[in-house]
Amino acid sequence: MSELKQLHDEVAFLLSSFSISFACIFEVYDMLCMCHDAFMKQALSLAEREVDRKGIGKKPSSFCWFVMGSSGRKEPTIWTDQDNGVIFSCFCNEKEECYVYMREYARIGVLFLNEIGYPYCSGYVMATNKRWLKEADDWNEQIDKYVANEHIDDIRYLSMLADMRPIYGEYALANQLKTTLYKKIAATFSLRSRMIDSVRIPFVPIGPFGRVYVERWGEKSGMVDIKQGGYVQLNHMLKWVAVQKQFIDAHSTFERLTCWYDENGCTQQQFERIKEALETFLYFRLRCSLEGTNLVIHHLSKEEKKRLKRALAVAKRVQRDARKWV
Amino acid sequence: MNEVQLSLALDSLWVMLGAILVIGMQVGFALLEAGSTRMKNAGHVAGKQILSFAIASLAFWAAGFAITFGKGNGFIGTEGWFLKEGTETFASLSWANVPLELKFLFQLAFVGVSLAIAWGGFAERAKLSVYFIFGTIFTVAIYPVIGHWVWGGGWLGEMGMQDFAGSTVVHLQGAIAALVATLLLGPRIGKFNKDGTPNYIPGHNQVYTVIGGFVLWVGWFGFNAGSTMGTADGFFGYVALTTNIAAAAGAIASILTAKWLVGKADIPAMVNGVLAALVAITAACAFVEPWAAAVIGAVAGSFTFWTSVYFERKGIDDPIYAFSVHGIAGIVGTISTGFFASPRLVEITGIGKPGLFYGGGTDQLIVQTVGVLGAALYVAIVSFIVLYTLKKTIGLRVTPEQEISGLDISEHGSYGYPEQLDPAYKQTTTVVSSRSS
Repeated sequence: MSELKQLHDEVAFLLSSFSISFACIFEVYDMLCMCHDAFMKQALSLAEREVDRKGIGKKPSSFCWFVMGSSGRKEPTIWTDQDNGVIFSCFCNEKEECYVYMREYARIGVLFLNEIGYPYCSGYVMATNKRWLKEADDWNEQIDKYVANEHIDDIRYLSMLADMRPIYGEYALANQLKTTLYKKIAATFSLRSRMIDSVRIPFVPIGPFGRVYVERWGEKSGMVDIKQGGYVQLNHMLKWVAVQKQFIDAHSTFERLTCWYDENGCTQQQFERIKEALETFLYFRLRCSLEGTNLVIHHLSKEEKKRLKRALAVAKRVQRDARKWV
Repeated sequence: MNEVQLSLALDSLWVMLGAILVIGMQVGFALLEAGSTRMKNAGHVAGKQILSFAIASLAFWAAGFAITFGKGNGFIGTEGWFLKEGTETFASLSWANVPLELKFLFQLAFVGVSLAIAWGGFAERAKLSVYFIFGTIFTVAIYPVIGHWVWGGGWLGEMGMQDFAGSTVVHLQGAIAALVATLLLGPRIGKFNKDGTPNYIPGHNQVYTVIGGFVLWVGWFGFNAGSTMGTADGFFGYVALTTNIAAAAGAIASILTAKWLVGKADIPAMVNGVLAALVAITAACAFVEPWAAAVIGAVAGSFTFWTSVYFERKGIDDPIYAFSVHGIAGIVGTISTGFFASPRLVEITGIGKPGLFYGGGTDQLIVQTVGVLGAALYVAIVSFIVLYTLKKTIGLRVTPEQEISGLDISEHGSYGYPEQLDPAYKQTTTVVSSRSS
């Protein structure tokens, strides 16, 4: 475990010594994601061995550990917290015993991940939460409830699940669940309509004549929240496009955009603009993550400021056109 | 009743009404300032308006009025102590056809406003004793000198400075004193972080702030239109019109500026925008056309929001933005007649020359600029000497413990909001309710 933690730290150190540019940002995230996946897989494998050794409960015939959030979208920054869940399959009469095994596995898995540098999720979106650890049939039942209720929290849970990506175990289980999820959401018009709100509501901090609004007060004074200010709007919009068009295998926001463009969902100009905006947000997100701070607008070069303004303008336009596209 | 008597009666009633409206502005300031500050200081901030006006009333009666309007030289009046009137003692006010007592009452109301503005810079951290001492000195040695220069037959008045109701005499003076105080006092505890970034210290009641702002807007009709001190030609109606147009333009310009600058249509910013516009039009209300009043109001309302943000970023904690609203807008308003004074209105008022935009050249602009600089310099120097001396002797600021517990309890012994803040009150109510049950 300590070696994994050391490797995680080394990746951060190496990345901070690289000269990262806007142009190569997707490749950088791909590499970073591969590293995170490798570390997590190793930790989860060790966790599985540990539970097997303890002999608690009954091991299910198959299970899959999946990640959500930025990791699910293959867009994790260097220090990313845990957003994960588990699905497993077993015989009906063994379900309770399998739950005992899987809960212990989740407990150890989450603990190990924390030990190697993935902090616990403050919102408790982790496999140790019974909401995110279920047997396959229970998962389907739960999704039906979310879809039927359309409560704001249910929509948030569906939104998180839409980013699920298997990283350990039987991938087919998670992929099947994701397919079911996408189909159910796409078939419910009112739900899609509610989901558009997640694109339209967050405030994009750009005003008329390209003025960027920064935090006025507090320790974040003079800073821009890149995540809430533009990145979220783009990834939510493309997530809902992916759900509607059933782009099951497109995990990253850029992959979703590419699939959408390939299906003639957007023009080349729109594709280019959104791609550039995405590059910008991902670049600044990574830079902030490495520097351990938010984006201070006065520290940006003239060219970076221009690029940020263009990206924010795209996010604003995406908000405006979201209903038309999804 | 003959025509002369009727004129005297109407003018007197008008000036009395004006005085009541302007004195009523103290209510506006009490609400505005209390609403814009924290609950733990609300009683103190509101209550000091009464103290302030009481100090001003006595000091202005004893000496301030004589120095402002009494017969003297180009710099100060030297006759008329305790309103003692001799031949030509108050010749500078002879144009107003009302009894001396009313002239005094009306002018006193102006000092009260100027002093209320100054207190903005002291808010939430100054000692009560400072209010007594500085309030008295301001009323007899600061305000009257500038008042004399402009309105009492002094050198600025002789140059033809246009300051109809006191953008400089009343507002800029109070604002400069507020700025000096806020610099000498330093920021409130918790206003700035170690890296210099500002924190938000919201006022405890935005509704009070809005009502206070509106009370001031209404009071301003007494301030500006009342400054005609006569009813015969109905000119007060015109002054009221330009005043109202400027205020309206200031409200709209400030809320749009706030939305544009920080992305939020900030309500306190709009209230301050109205006040800034009113401050600016105070000098110009009798000299400019209605369209110019709208421009002046909009510029003042808009510009002062920007300056309030700017000063905050520069580490100046002006709790209710007194310097931006009254100082910057006071400068804008005073200078504005150098551009916008129309020949028609200059002829009616008989003060100064037309502005640059009416082919009047730069003469009036220079006079206005000299007036602003002269007044600002004098007030800054005297205020600094007085406040610095106080700082080094009795101290300006309450202790950190007193500031944290709030001025209501530390300076006055009771809270403005006991139900929310006083643990003893909660205990009492608990006992009562348990007995009744």
